Amino acid sequence: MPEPVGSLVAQSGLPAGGRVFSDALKLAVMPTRAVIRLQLGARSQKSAGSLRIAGRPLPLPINRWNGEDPVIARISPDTWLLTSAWHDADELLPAVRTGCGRRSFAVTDISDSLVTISIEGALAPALLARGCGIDVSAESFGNDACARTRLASLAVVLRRIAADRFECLVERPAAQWLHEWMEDVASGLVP
Amino acid sequence: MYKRQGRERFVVTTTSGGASRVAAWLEEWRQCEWPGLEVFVTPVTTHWATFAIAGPRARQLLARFRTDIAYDWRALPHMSLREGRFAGVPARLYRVSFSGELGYEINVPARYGAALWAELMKAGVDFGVTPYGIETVLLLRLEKGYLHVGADTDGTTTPDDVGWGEVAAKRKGDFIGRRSLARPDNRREDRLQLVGLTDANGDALVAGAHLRLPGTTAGSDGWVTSASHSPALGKVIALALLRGGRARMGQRVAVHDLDRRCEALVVPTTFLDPEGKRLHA
Repeated sequence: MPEPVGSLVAQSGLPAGGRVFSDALKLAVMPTRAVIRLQLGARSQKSAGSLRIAGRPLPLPINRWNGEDPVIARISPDTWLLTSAWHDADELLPAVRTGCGRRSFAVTDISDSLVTISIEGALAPALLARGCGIDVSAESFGNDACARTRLASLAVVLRRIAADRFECLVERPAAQWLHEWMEDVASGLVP
Repeated sequence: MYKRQGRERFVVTTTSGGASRVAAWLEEWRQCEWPGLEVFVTPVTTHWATFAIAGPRARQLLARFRTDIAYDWRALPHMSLREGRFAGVPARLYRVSFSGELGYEINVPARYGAALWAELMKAGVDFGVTPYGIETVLLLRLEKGYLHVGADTDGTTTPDDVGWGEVAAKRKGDFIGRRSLARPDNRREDRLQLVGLTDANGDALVAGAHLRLPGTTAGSDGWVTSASHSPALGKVIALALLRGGRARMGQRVAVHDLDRRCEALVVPTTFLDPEGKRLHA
């Protein structure tokens, strides 16, 4: 009788590292250990301003984000997304539950649902403009902006981190395809 | 399929490709019709990799993996769920079957999906494991008479039309569709009802073929919704929506497909293992 299988190795199935097209455009699949979706009930949303997750307040304006790790983004009236490159969901979930206290809420680990792709460089807005309907100019989509939108017809969460750096969260089954789409667009943008 | 994970937590699994549509539909009801309900809907389809492990040796295959989930027939009977660790990773193990065989579905976080698939194939060599696709599962479910929503039903089909009338009638209180079930037209005896059809040759017994009852010379009395040759039974079997079908067991109907014609026998929808011995093994 063979030894029972006791461990599995995680595989992303995605390109490792990043791809530098030029100083003006770099693509990279970012390590993301945890993605947690927090939803607050209608009454609890009113007191969201006093809610703290690991000591940090939730962003209150819709389509805004704050924090470093975890990043907390409000992506709809009742939904916040927490992403972390350093912490596992098992570490973050208790902090979220404690922070929510007796409010009406739901917290769900969706760490394996989403993949983060970084788009960096002066040409990053131009790449996004090829497949995204929203205006990602600095005036409209500032450094603390995030949005649920579509990129290359796929549902994504887009977040601006700096003047020339964005992160895009896309569903895992579509990540490879979107990355290839970005590479294809990038090859047309960079001489 | 609805699975209860806790007092206030449910998982809904849908037909392939229907998850986004069903999630949007649930959101619509939650936001537009019952905004006062403190209910949250979270799509988790892409978080989990799911494998169906079906067949009489499915349990032996599971035994090749380290797990703290009890899955013998007593601990995990048909239509039940347990959570724990499987091969060292978080997992949900469902006892469920769309093939009519002893069956499990295992969920692991998606990042472990490729590794689990490889290990299942490797460990399954001793049991003759083989991947099976949609065509196979559609034949297996047809032999069991499990309906395929959208193929064996359409927008006019009621629970009673497919033999679930008593289940729906037991539900107390209000629910979506209750009023429709009470409409006189939906309670007629001569509605299109799901039945089984079989024929030894049955070259016209194909999905989409129309049915005519004895004495009918024009128009249609129903149609074949699913059909296939069953190697296990050695004949062609089909599911069909037939006018007043449940009262016609043992009768023969004419089957017309373009210029082909045959006769088929009206039978119950479960062709194989009607006692469920394989399912509950």
